Amino acid sequence: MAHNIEHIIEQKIARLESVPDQFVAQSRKIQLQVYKEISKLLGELDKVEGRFALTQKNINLIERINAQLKKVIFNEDYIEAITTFAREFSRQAKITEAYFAEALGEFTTKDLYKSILSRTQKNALALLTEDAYTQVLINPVTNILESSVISEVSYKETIQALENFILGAEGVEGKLISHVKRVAYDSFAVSDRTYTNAIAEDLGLEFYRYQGGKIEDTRDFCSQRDGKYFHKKEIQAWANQKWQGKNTATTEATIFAFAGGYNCKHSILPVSTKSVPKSVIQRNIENGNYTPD
Amino acid sequence: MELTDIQALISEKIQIFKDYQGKKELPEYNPVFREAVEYYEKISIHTEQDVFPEKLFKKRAPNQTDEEFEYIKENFKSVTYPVFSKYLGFLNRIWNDANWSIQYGEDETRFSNNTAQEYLEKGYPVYGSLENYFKDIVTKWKEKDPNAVICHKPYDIPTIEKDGEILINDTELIKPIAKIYPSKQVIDFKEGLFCLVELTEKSWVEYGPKKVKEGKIFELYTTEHVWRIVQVGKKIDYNFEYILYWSHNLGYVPASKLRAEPIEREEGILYKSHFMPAVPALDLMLLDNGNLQISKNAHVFPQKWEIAAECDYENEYGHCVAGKIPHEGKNIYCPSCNGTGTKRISSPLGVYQIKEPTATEGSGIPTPPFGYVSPDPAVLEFLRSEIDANEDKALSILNLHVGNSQVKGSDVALTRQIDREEAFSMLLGISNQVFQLFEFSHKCILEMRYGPEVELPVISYPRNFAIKNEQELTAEIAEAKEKGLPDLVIRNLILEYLKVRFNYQEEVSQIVDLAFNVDRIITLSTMDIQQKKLSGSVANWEDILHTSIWVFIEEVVQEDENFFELELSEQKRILIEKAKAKDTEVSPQRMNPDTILANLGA
Repeated sequence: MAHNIEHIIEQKIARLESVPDQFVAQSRKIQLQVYKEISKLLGELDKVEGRFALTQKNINLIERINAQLKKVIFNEDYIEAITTFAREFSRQAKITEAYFAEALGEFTTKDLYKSILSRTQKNALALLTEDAYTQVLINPVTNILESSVISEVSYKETIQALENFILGAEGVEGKLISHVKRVAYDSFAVSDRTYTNAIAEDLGLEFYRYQGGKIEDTRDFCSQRDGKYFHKKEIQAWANQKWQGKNTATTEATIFAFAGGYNCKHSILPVSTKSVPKSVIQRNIENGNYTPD
Repeated sequence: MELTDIQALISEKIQIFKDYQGKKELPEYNPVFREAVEYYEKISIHTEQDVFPEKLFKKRAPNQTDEEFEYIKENFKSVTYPVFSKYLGFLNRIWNDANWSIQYGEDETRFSNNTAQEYLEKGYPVYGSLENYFKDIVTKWKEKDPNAVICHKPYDIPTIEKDGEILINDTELIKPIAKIYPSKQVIDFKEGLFCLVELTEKSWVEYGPKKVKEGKIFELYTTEHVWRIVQVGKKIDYNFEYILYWSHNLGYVPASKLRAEPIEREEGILYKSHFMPAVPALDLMLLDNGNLQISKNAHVFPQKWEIAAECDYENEYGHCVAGKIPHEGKNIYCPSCNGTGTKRISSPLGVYQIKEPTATEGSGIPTPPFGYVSPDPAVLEFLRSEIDANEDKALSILNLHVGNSQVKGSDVALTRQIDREEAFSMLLGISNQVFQLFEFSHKCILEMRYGPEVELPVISYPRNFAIKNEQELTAEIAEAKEKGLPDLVIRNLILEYLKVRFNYQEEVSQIVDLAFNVDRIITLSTMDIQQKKLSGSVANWEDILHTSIWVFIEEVVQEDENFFELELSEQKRILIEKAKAKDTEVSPQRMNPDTILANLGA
């Protein structure tokens, strides 16, 4: 049984990285396609001595480029990738439910949990669908093009600016990947943590274990807490602390969702009281957080 | 009016007819008859094509030879008809659909298949609509012959056969029409009492042993009836049969003079056409043109002349005197000179033989003794300039020559404005008269057809006669958008443009109203829309709606012919849905969290 639960925990935490990794990999292909399409369309713009001309044709073409980018980004491959990503949220929820079943001996899912899952899925997807990309990528690209035409900037300068923006430069990710990374990792992890904590709240669980391991870029906050047990009130008290990478929306309620903050891949897993070390229980009795039954 | 009164009236008119038989003057059927007909004849030479103005040419050149008169007649061209045609074109502005309107009332349920509007706008006999009749016939006649009358009567009387008898079918609605009778057929007209016209149709009467179709037929319109009075029996007896054609019982005479400028006479009113003031100038145009034709023929080719001696032919009866010689008590043409009285001095072989001059005669004969006379073109030029001047004068009198060409500089615009205002002022007067007749016709026809309780349509008379063409309206719309004029202004300009471009249809107004309600970017230019799309303040489906509004409306109307009867909000919803559906079709698949989650189970 212990082996089982450990396996489940391992799987649950590993997926906080592997699932978004897969989605990011798909997005890299799209990023390149976007750049190639832009380059091709730029060739059709009117130029005079290597500089873009301010003409009605160019204004019309920019409008076309805008529409074309959307077609490139939101093609069938991307739709499939994001659908798969959305599906992973449900699978992650199943793993979480399996965890609770192992940890508590029995577990029954409720409609309430499904609603919460759906909510977190939507929140995550909202940052990865058309409106989000329009704001993050398409509009800025269009603005670069518009400015180039209106100011009659050279073709060379414009293509360089677009390359830097779309593909990135040394050490800096392109705009699309940078957005996807930020959203995919965080949204998946936050969704998982939110779902987990919602069930914990519903079941009245009080003790949690901070889990996820230590990797090269683990922040101090997480490093100090990794593998340790805490009462929920202790965890809530963390919201008042300051640390590098803390999510600015962290509160006593949301700390369970945001944990260490941006790009945190740790889980704050609820545990049964039986599995909590006596010293932790004693500490929380003494500080008034916990009253045994 | 009693039958005895009618009989007395007819007798009186027949007597007048008999009194003037064989005389050159027209009968004086009524105090203004002769003048009215003369007015019409004066105008008609300019308002009908190829009607030769015989009186005009005979009066003007009484010494003209028969040969010259016949030449003019054979080669006559109606050079003044284009002036009348232009005048009519100007008058037709009053019928521009944008300038007037008509609103029909609600018809009784029992007439729902034969409404007033349907009859007058689609089922009107021959012309299709009363409006067409007024546009094509009445407006023109009013200016040609304002003393003509417009009468209203059933086109035909619906009948049924019952027990071998032909009876009036009173279950069927009659089809009243308007009919114009020229002034020469208006025997008498007493305002509010009656109108008596003689038809061009003739009846069969006896003339000696034969029957001839030369009998007179009259129509009499009174406040209650329409009578048909037909000559029967012997032609010289002038007996008549009095047939009650239709009892309309309107309480007024369904007839009116066409009217124009009234001239009061001691008894009655004579109407003078607004075209009449131009007639003298047009008469001169015709005369000068006739002379121009003769001059061209007589002078345009060089004329050969040659010396000729007096004919000295003689025979046993006598010798040639001025081309004639006596023969058996009569003077006949000289066989030598053929009546010319001269003989050529050239031989048949063309050799000129000149008599040797005497000492006293000197050498008066030129060498050579023949030559050619070239015509003086100044005569032709003079006639042409006279014709042009008279045409200009006529056009000016009719207010068709807008803008004095002598005015230069900044006064041109003001002069044009003044001329235009004068023209429109004249047009307004004519328009009011035409539309009064139009309204009167509606009253007579509808009350005859449906009864006195029928709700008459409300006609809004024209007040403005400026006509803009498509190009002017397009430019005006573009300027209005550029200057940011209120939507209401732009909307009315677009409506006017659509009416000019596509001919006014009732649906056009509904379509434009709907477009303005549903398309919030309708007044924006293409560039503005593109920029707003880029900035995100115009959605793609809105752009689709804007560019495809007319297609969408056509589609929904085809799907549901009662579309325009829906609430406006519902009409808008349907069109917006269409635009959004098209957006989904043409744009990449829109992704939103809901659609993705919905597809998770698939």
